[in-house]
Amino acid sequence: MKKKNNLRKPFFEELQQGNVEGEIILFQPLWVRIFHWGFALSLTGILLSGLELHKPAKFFAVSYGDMFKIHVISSWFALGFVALRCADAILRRDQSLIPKLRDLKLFPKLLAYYLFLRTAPPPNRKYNGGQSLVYSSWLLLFLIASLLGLSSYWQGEHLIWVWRLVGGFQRLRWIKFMITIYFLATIPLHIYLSMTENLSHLQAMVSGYERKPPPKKS
Amino acid sequence: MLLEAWLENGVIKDAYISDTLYRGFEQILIGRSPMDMPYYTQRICGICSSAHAITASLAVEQALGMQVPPNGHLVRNLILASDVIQNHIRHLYLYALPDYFRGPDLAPFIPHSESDLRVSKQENDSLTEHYFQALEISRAAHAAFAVFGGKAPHGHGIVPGGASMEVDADKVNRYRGYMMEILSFVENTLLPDVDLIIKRYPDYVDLGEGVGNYMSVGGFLNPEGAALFPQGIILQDKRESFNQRYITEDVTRAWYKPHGPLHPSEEDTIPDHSQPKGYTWVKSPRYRGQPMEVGPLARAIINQEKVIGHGALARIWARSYEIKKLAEATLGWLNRLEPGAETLNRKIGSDSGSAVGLHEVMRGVLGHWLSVKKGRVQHYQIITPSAFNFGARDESGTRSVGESSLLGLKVQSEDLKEAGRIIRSFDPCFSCSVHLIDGERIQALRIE
Amino acid sequence: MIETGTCTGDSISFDNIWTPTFSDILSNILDWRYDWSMNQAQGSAAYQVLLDTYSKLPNEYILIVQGSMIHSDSGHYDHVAYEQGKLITGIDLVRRIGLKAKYVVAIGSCAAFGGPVAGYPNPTRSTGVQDVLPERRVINVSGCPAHPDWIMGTLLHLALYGEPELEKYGRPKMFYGETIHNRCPRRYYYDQGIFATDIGQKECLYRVGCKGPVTYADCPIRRWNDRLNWPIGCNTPCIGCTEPGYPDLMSPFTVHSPDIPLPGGTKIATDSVALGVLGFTSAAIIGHAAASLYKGRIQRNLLKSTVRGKHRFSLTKVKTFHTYRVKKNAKKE
Repeated sequence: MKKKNNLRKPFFEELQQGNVEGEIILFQPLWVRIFHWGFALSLTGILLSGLELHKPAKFFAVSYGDMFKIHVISSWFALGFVALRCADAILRRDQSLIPKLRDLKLFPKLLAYYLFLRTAPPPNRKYNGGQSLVYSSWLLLFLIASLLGLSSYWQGEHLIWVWRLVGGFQRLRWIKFMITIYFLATIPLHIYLSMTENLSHLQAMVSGYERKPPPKKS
Repeated sequence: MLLEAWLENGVIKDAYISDTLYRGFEQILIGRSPMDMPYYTQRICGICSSAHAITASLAVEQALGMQVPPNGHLVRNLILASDVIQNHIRHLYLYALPDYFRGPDLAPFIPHSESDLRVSKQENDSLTEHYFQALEISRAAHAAFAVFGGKAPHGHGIVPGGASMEVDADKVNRYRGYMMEILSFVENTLLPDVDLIIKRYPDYVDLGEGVGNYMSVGGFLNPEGAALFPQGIILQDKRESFNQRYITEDVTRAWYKPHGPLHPSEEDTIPDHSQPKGYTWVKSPRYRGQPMEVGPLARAIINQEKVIGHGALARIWARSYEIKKLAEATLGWLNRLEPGAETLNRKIGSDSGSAVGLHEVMRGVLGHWLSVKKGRVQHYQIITPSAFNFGARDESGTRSVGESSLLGLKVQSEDLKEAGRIIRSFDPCFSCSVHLIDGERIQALRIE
Repeated sequence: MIETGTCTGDSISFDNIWTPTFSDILSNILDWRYDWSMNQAQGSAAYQVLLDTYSKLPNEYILIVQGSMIHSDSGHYDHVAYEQGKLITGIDLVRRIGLKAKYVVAIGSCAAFGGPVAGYPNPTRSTGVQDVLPERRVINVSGCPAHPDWIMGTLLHLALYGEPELEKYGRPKMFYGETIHNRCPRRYYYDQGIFATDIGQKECLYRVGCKGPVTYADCPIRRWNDRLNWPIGCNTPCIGCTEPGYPDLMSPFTVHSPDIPLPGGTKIATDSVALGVLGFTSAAIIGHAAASLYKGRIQRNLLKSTVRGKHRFSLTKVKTFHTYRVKKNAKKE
C-alpha cells in the first residue's frame, strides 16, 4: 500500500496544484468498469445466441446445441457481473442507478435538449434522467429475463409459480423476445449518445478518472 | 340440441329444433393468417374435421391464386374419403342403429329405450357384436386418414396448396390395407345389417320425408376435373344447375343481430341472445329462398343413383351405399398416385382476394366464404350441412328440412323415439351446428 | 362425461383408441354412465342417468368434461340439459356434478385451458374447467384433440392407483413430462442447423413455426392413430395444441411468434413489431446524428469533453496494475 501511495501522491499533488482547470476525480470505480465491460460482452453473447436460437439465420448453419451452451454460459456470466455490480452498489451506498423523482421531473427538459429545443441539458447527478431510467430498466428486465430463462432451463422442475404466472412456454418465450428487442433498441442509443455527448465519460469507463470542469465564473 | 314438439293426439303438429351452443368461430377467424384456416376451422367439428380443412383450403387457394398439383388433389381426396367413411360408419353404428336394436347390457346403453324394438334376440346379439366391430373399423378408417393426414381427428395433412405428405409405396400400401379391411366389413356386415333393419322397419323408409328439394355442390374431383359427386339442384321437382350466388342466410329466428336474407359473403355474425324471436343458434340458409336437403340421399338423387325412398331409412341406406362407393373410389385414386411427384405447391399469386370454398362432405354441402386482405382474413362465413338441414325458420316462417320432416309423425313412445330416429337419420352434427338430443320438451297443445 | 362448448373431437379421438379395444373398456374397465354420443336413451331419460349417479354415488364417480366453459350471457350461450322447465347451462352442470365428483378430468384443450373456442376475441368468454371449479383440483388432459392413450391412461390411473403425478399445469406427468422437441426424430436436423424452408419438407420444421420446443406432450414417441403418423411426421409443424394459450399464442401456425391483437380487431405479427421498433430506433439515431452534425452539437460536445487542460501530464505506467504516475522529468509547458 505504501508503494501505491508513493506512486499516486505526486500525481494528485500535481493535479491539485491548480495545473488543471477543475479537478480530476474518480468517476467510475474499478468494479463498475469491470461490470460494464463484462456485462457488455456477455450480454452481446446472450442477445446474438438468443436471436440465432429464436430464428436461425439462413446463412449460418451451426450446431444448435453449442448455440444453446453459449447462451446459457453467457447468461451465467452476465448474472455474475450483475451480482458484482449490485454488491458494489450496496457496499458503496451508490444510488446513481436508481432513478429519483428529480430525474423524472427533469426528464422532459432532457428530452427537449435531445430534440434540439434546448441548447444545454438540464443539470444532473452522475447520470441524467434518461440514463438512470434506461440503466435501471435494463437491470430490471435482465433480472426478469433471467428468471424466465431459469424457469425454462429447469423445465418446470423448479420455479413452477413462474410458469403458472406467465401461462405457458410460448408466452415465456415471447416475453423474452420482447425484452431482447428492448435491449436491441436501447443499446445502440446508449452507444450513440455516449460517443457524441461526452467522450470523457467514455474514457472514464476505461481509465476510471475524469476531469471535472471548473465551476463557471460568473 | 333441443327438440320441442307440439303434439296433438299423438301426432306432431309443429316442431322446433334448437341448437343450444354458440362458440363464435366466425368471429374468432377474423384477422388471422389465411394459411391457418384449414387447421383452425377443423376445430369446429371433431367428427368431420377434414371436411372443414378441405373447404377452407379450397377457399384460400382460390383467394390467393394457388395451384394444387394433381398428386395433391388425389392425396386430399384420399384423406377426406377416409374421414367420410369413418363418419358414416360411426354415425350408423354409434348413433343411428342403436335406435333400432336393444344393444348390450353395458353402462352407456342402460337404461335401454325399450319401445318399438322389432329385432329378434339373435339379431340383436349379432348387431351388438357388429357395433363393437364397427368401432374397430371406424378406428381403422381414421388410421387411413392418418397415413396421409398426420393425425385424426384434426389432421395436419390438408394445407393450402395441396397436401403436405409425400407419396411413396409404404403409405399407399398401408392406406390400401386399411381400405380393404373397411371394404370387406362394409360388404359383409354393414350392408346386410342395414338391409335387416330396413326389412324390420319398412315403414321408416318413407317416414320423415324432407321437403323434396335437394342440393349438391359436387366434390371429390379427380385431376381431370371429373367429380365423384356431381353438382346439381333439385328444386320443386325441377333439376337445375347450381350457382352459389343464390345461397342466402337469414337470421330472423336465430339469436343474432337481425339482418335480411344475405349472401354469406356479405353477412355478419353478431350474437344477441336477447332476440325475442330467436330460438336457436343456427341461421337459416336457403337456396333461392327455399330450404334444401343435403347429404348422401341428396347426392344419390342428384347423381341419379338408385334410392329406396326419401325417408329416414332411405337416408341411412344411401349413406351406407356411399361408403362402398367411396371406398372403391379410393382404390382408383391410389392407383393414380405418382410416388415422388410433388403434392404441394405453396406459391402464392396475390396476398388479397375473396373466394368461396364449396365441397360435398359427410353430411352434405359445406361452404366457406372468405375474403383476405394483405395476408389477413377480413371476412369469414361458414355454412354447414346441418345448418341447411336444421336451420331456423326464415322470415316467411318456412321450416327447415328437419323440422318439416317431423310434421305429422305419429308418436307412441314416451321419449319421442320416433322423432329421434328421423332426426338422427340426417346425421346432425350439432357441434358444427348442434349436438345430439340432450333435452326435449313435449307440449301437448290442444287446438280447438 | 359432460360435453359443453366442444367439437366432440375428444370423443371421436377416444373412439380411435387402439388398445385396449373400446368394447373391453366399456365392459371390463369403466362403468361409462353418461355420454351424449353413446347413450341409447335420449333426452330426460339419459339425463336422469347423470342425476342418479350424482345423487347415489357421491364422491365415487369421475366427471369427465369435454369442451370449454362458456361464460357469455351468464353461461346461456351453452345449454346442456333440460330440467324441470329450465335449461341448464354447461357451467352450472359442471359445477354441480363436479363438486361431488371423486375426480374431475378435463379432456381436450378446450376443457383444460379454453382452447380454440377461447381464441381472440373470445366471443363467448370461454375458459377451462379449472376456472369454474377453483375449489378443487382438475386433472387436465389437454390436446386438440387429446390422444386416446392420454385419456385412457389417465382414467386407468385414477381407477387403479388414484391421482397421477401432475406437472405444472395439472397434466399427468407420464404423458406431458417432456417437450416434443426433446424427443423429436428430426432433432438431428435441428442440432446440425438444417432447416426446412416450407412445410412439406423432410428437415427440421423449426423455421416454419414448429411449436415443438414449447409444447409438452409425448407425440413423437407415442404417435397417433395406430401409431402410424403424427403432425411432424406429416411434414407439418407442431401447433402446440397441448399448451395453455393455444391457439392464440401458437398462431400463425407457420410462424414462430404469435400475432399480437391490437384494439380494434386487427392483429400484428410479433416480428413486424420487433422490426418496427428496431427500424424506428435506427432511424431516430441516424436522424439525430445528422441533426446534431448540422447544428454543430456533436462537434461542440467532442471539443468540450476532450479539450486540453493548461498542463499536459506525461504519465508513465507503473508495474502495478492500472496505476500511473507523473514522469519526473516532465516539464511544465
